[in-house]
Amino acid sequence: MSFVQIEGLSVSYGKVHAVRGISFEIPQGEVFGFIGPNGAGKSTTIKVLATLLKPDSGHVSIDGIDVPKYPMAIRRRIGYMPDFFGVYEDLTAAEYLHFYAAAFQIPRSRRDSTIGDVLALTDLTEKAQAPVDSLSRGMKQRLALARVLLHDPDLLLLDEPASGLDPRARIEVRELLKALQGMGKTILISSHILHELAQLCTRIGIIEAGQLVTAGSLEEIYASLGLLQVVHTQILNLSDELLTKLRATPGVARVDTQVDRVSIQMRAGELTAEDLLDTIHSHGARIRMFQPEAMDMETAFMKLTEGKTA
Amino acid sequence: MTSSHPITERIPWWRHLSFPLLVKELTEQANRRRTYVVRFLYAAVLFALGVLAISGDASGNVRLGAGQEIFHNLVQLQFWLILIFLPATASGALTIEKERDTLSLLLITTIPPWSIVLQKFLSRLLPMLSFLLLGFPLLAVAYSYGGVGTTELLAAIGLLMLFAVQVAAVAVFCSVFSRTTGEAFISTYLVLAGMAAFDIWPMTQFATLSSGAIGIALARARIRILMTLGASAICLLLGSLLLERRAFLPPRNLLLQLFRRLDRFYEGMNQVTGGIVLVNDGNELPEEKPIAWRETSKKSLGTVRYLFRVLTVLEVSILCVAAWVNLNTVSQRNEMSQLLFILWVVSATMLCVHASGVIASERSHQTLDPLLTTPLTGADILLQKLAGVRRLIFVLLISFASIYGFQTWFQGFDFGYALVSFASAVIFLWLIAWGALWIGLRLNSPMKAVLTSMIAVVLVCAVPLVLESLLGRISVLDELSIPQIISNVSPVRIIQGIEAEGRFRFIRDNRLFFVNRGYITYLVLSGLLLIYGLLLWLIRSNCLKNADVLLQRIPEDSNAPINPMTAKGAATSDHISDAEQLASASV
Repeated sequence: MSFVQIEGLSVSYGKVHAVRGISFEIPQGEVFGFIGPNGAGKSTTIKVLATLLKPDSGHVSIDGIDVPKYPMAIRRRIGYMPDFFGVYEDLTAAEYLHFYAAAFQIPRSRRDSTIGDVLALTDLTEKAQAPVDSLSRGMKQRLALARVLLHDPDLLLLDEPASGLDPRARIEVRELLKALQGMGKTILISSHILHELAQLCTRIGIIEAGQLVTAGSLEEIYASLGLLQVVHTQILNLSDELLTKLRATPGVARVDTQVDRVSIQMRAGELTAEDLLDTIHSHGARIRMFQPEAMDMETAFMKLTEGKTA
Repeated sequence: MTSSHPITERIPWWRHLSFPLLVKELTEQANRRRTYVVRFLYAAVLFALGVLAISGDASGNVRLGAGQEIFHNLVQLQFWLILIFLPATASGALTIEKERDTLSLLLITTIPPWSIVLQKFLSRLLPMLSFLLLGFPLLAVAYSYGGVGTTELLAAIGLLMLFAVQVAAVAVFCSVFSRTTGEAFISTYLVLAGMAAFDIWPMTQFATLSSGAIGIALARARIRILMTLGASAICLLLGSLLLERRAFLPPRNLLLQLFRRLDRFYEGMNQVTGGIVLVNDGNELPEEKPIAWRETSKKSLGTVRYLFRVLTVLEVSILCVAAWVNLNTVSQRNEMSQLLFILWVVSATMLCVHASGVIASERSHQTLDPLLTTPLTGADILLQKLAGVRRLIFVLLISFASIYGFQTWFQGFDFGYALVSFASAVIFLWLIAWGALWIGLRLNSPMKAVLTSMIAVVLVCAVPLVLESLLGRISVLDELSIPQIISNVSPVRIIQGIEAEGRFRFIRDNRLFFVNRGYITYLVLSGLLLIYGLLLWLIRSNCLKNADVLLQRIPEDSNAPINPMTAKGAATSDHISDAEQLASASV
């Protein structure tokens, strides 16, 4: 059974139907990327899981527990990070974490060590005594991540955690999320930055106008759309014979020669990058560079959505 | 080469007179429902009180020739309505742009600062002038009664417009200068109070002009009018000059800043005195109640040492008045009673500001959602949020007790008075606090919450008094003393009643009577207080019972089975066994 289950979820704000009967599942330990344009219903879905919004209809459960029926039990299992990080201007980073540690009823004897651990994990130990409002936006995001980790939740609900961050801060947050993934956390993350989700997520769901367009692993989605993955390679002993052999390889859709490289386009699901490398090598090629491009999620997104919002 | 480069070319000043910002502001106002609600409220108050002033307590024929008195009452009413309504709308003219981070977008357009300020000023002034037009039919009725000269009529219209210009100019200046709408709103009244102290105040000029002043008095009034115009122009000019400099201010808490400056001053003084610490704030980190910890150790009106300063200011004022009363040969309770009413106004304002903002400010700062996903119950969050308010009420109660103590001392011990007066303070202070919290729970903007709370307090106090005046004209009801009974429900009358040694106010044949029935009256007053106590209990219960819904999160399902894993949603048995361990550990 999946850790997060959503079946036929519908949420309305007055006459506006923000979410219209979406269903998906997230197995334990997976990183689920939630993608969609502004107003698609991502934040609303996450707020339902975070016990902040009551669904109009549908079934939502986390770890088998019905969310609308047992919100308090759910709150102990989740860590929620909203898309905007409001600060308590009057607290330091350490005080901020102590505040939430007390709110999550972590025993006083364990608080110092727990806070030390999460500060170390988020690389904020040196900023422990700094006022929260003096931190940079990237640091605030990491502090928010530290907060959601305090009570060691099973599920992290992260709404646009990388929005508004500079490239360095974005990479830091991404690396932190990878570390959390390594710790076995189940993570639901929404983002607009598609290529970052491609590097991080094991599964994705694309939502538009309150409806789920598709959900599944990246490979499944690419295969279902017939998308091509590109591999850039430099071959020292490149010859017409080798090119012919490459074009004849099952799963290869197209081979283009450029000034400094050969670009090979593969049909997702038919051939993997590892198999292609073995095949080229078996043809006696001397390879200087072999670089598979990240899956083209933007193409998938554009193909699956029509730019509508709820 | 061309002689003038397009970048350095100056735009002629007259091109800025197209006023695109004014058009946008007026269009926005026309599209808002709030505009029509405010207009309706203004008209309702104006016409209700206007009809009251015109109808009086005698028939129309008897009042022929008495138009001047009615006219004066109506003009005064319009002055007060300008003073109440205009700062509420104009003080947010530029602070709203700052709060939404849209002022920078305005500043990078070709509209110069003076034009931005002028257009904002006009966008607030023009609706107010249209409000003033609403009152003209009433003035015409008063004029028709006779006794009002044409010059007086024109002077009234001119001075009302001048007052609107003055208030709007001051409010726009304060809006330029301040960081938040709340700061601008309060500073508008402070600046206006300063102007009133120097007699730059069209209200008093109207009184002078309409009294038929001649010679020096007339000249002085004219000079004051010119000064009012000059002060308004200076406000707008300063606003234009300061707009860019005050556009990007960091968030701040003025009261907290003041207290921290005092801290630094006292720390400096402590080096002289050897480090005396009178009040220690206690725990540095939260133990079990984190929200209460923040409210009582990080907020200006919750921290012990800061509240101690508030108490000192209040107590010194009370002691000074008490000493003055005591030194007087003729012992008077009036001065203490007046001080008591001032204390009520100050307390109600402080509680409205503090209690209505505890949740609304979390919402506006977007810090509430993370708090709502913690396992704290909704009721617990509210009770902890009120920890600072509780301390403030405690401090205020000390001041009330001091006044009641002095009253008892000066007039001889009266157990009924001591008991009922202290009970009134406890009940009304908590009622204001919970009422303001309840309003704050329903509104997202702290400013709206504060204003709504204050309006609610004024309405509760004033509506029974207005009803008394209106119903008093119906002879059948008057004979049954129903208007008087209704008016005695007003908290103002209850407090007045207690101060008048438990006497009920009673009007018969245009004469004021006090009915003193000793402890029987105290019992009736206690009954009225009990009604307010019941209202307090209802509001408190409603807030605590529906805390989750009011805070906007999913409430606990009271019908759900106790163990979440036995509920629908737990599908497979092996999964249940895993999750049950977690549930038993945490629920």
